[in-house]
Amino acid sequence: MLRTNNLQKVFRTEEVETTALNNVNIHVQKGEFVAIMGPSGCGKSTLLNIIGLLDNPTDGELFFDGQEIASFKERQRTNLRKGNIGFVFQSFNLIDELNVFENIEMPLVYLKLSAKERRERVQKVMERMQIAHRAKHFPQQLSGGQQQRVAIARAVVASPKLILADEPTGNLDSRNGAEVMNLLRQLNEEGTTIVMVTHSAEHAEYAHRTINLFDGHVVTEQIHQNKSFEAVEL
Amino acid sequence: MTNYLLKTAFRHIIHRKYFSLLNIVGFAMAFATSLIIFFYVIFEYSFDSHHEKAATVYRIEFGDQVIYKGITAQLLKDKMPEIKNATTLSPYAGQVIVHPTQPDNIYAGRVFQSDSALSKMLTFDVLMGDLDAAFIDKSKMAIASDAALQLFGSTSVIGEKVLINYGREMEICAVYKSFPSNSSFSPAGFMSIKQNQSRFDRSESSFLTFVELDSHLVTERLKQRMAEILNAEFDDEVTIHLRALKDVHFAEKINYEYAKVTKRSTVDLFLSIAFLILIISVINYYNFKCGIMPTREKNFFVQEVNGAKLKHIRLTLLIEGLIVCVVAAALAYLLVELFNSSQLSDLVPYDLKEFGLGQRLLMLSAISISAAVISVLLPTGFKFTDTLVGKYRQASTKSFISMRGILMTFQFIASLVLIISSIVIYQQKQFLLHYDTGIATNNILSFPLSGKIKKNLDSFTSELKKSAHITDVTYAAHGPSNTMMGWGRTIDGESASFYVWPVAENFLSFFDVKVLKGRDYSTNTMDNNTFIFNQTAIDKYNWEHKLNKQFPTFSGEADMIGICENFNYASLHHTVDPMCFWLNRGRCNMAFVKFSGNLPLVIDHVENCFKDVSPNQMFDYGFVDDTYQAYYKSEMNLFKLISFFSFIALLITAIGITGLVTIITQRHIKEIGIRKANGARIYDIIKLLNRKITYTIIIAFVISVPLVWYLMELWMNNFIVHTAIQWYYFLLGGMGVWLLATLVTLRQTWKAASQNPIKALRYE
Repeated sequence: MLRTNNLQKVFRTEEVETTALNNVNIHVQKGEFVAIMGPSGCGKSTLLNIIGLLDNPTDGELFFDGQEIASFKERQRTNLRKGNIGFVFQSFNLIDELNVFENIEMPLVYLKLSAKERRERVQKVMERMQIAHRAKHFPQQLSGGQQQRVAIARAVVASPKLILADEPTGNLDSRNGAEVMNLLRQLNEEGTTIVMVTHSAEHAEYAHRTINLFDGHVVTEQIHQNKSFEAVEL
Repeated sequence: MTNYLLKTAFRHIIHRKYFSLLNIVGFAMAFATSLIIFFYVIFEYSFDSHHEKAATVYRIEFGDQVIYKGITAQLLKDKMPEIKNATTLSPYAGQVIVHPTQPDNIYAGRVFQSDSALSKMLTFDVLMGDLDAAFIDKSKMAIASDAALQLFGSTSVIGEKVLINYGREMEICAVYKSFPSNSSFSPAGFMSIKQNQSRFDRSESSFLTFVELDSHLVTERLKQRMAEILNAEFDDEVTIHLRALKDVHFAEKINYEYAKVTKRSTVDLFLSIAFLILIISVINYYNFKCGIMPTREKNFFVQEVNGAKLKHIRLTLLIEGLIVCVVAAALAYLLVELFNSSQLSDLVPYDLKEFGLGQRLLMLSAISISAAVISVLLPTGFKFTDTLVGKYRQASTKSFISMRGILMTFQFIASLVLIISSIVIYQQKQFLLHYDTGIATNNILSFPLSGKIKKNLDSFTSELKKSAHITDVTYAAHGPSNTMMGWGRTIDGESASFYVWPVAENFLSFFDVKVLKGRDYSTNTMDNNTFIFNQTAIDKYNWEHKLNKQFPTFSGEADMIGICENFNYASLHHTVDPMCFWLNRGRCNMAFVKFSGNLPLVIDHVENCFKDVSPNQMFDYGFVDDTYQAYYKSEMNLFKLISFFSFIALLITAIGITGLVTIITQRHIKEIGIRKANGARIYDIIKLLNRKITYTIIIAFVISVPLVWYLMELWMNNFIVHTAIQWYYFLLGGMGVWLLATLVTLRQTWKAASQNPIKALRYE
């Protein structure tokens, strides 16, 4: 589903040139749950941003469903992202001025779905995330765990093929963190491909496979033995 | 989608209620101010527009004056086929129209003599009767509806008789709708110029000439031809200027002006102030928007990763701007109503009520939508892709901070220019009020005479003088004024023009006007009709030898018996032109009473004397020094208005500074915490936060000083005498603005500086 070929990302300022990613080659299959780990500054988030079409690589190729997308223009990237990729962030990134329902509804508004359909889909996903009773509340009225559940609900409401999670448990205590991981595992079991950046080895265990990055290189790949994943598509 | 965008925009405004409130208040003040000014500008620029031919009817100006020979119109029409119509007007037919049987029932207003070509050139809305009959029949006249209503309580007055200047009886043959308030001249009535035989007198120059021409024919060559025709006919050396009727209102430095004129530069100055205030408020909005943009980046980022396009973000910003501006416009409407019902409305020379609800709403919509669109179109430095890769903070912030710096400097320059100008204008006002005009004006009461009193002036004088507090009484056609009668005469073969002031015999001694040569008037009736000229007239026309020689009057000739010193008989805008006193009790319409002691007793006594003779006429008194001050009324109003608008501009700038300091403090909260943890005192932090604003004011001050100096020198040139611009005016203005800026920021900076550093660091 997702493949990179010699992906490279260099940040340049007037004085310094930093290579964030250097010849990164990874391959994520449809339905797979992949964790990316590594020390701070190793390029995990940069890789996730490039995979999520939020950033351009300096060099190399990026394939999504077999199509090379690294050279896509902004409009094409927006269109591809819309409905295909859902994001979950460490800091939740909920909009303070919108309530729970409206935050979750947002991707559907841009997909131009009817109000009725939006309502039904949001209601369904809220119930699933057990936050329906908080529909009218604003983000600042929720606990961290609840906020992250809203963020996950927003990421899945448009039924994307791929969810990219950037340290989704980074701001949560262990109980809430475990809840979020269980949710992600359930989503994966239902067929959603997930790529997750994490610092936590325990949470990486939820994935089928862990890719370890160091100084912009893929150093090791570890397949979790207790997980069974059968590739359905290359 | 629209609902969603509206909801997001609206919620953002509520969420950021502090900044929204600052923006709404700032915009509302700016919208209200610019609405008042824009209507003023429309009013001034629409003068005479009710005359359909305002663009093709031209007033002929001869050198620097509007009056010339009575046969000019006919002469030019005969010799120049391109002239479609030409008419002659005499503005001196009368000053008051009096009811035939009620001598106290008068309408004060200029009556003009003219011919029937006038009705083809001006637009008359004839309510009743035959207008042309007034120009043909010597015994008939047309009167304005206001005059008819005042005198008879109705406009159905055809066939009624009136007296002109208490004398000649005329029959009303037509009533026309009074010209609107934006007319350069508003005649109380018209009669035929056939009554005026002096129009054929080639030595007499006291007539106005208007011609109708296609605009494209008005060339230098045409004017030259006109001058050649007139100079050949009258053996003269005049130059010709043609001024379209629509431009007469802005005529400047013209002698014997009969029209209501305004300086175009004043109108344009106010227009600039309106734009300046609007720009200041737009800058505030823009600065706030950029200031809080970094905190909004997250929202835009989230929206974008969830499918929003740039146009959605732009639309959200536009809707936000529009909501703020619409709320501000509603508030502005209330502010305008408040202004209109307060004494401040007296400062503007038009009645706001003339502009109805529809016009106000239309104007407010235009102003607010423009402000919203401009605010949104200005670049915010926000770019999707930049935000996502974090370039914004690294690359753009610096340039946008300096952009904000430039805009804030501009706001301070605008405020400084307005404040320092207000100080200079105030000083000039004080200077004028205390300037020695050469005429004693203290403790003198003046009031218009009634018809009955005019018939018994001597007994009225005796009655007045019975009060121990009244030291002297005199009479004249009018008080000190620049709208006096103007005479143009050919004397000793040379054209001469001078103002004529009809007075009673003790007028000069009453006002301490010194007679330099010859003698003052005596009570001897032999002095009737005689002249005393001012020194300027003697110097200009070399008439020293004409002392005790004869001068032409309206009927026959009379002696020049004396020469008096120059004094400012009008405002200090005008140079002292040739003028003369003319002993003519019959033309005296005003009384002047010199008093000492208890003013209420004096007024009581004078009113009793007045009411004894004319119980039904209103006793409408004033003071001569007030009259002098009234000449500067436009300056006084200009001063008050500029001060008022400067205050508004400063207030809006203060709102801007308050908002900016809030943003700056919020952004530096961590820095403040670190500095305090490392030993900085509260004073050091306040100094740090105020440093940028102080530097900005210093830069703005340096730019403002030469700008104000230049502008004020230009303005002062309007006066023949003026005060010097002192250096401390600038210091005063600069310090004032700095103090205000520091005061409004002090609360915020103090709050930030006195916070526990641990709290500040945690907060961040």
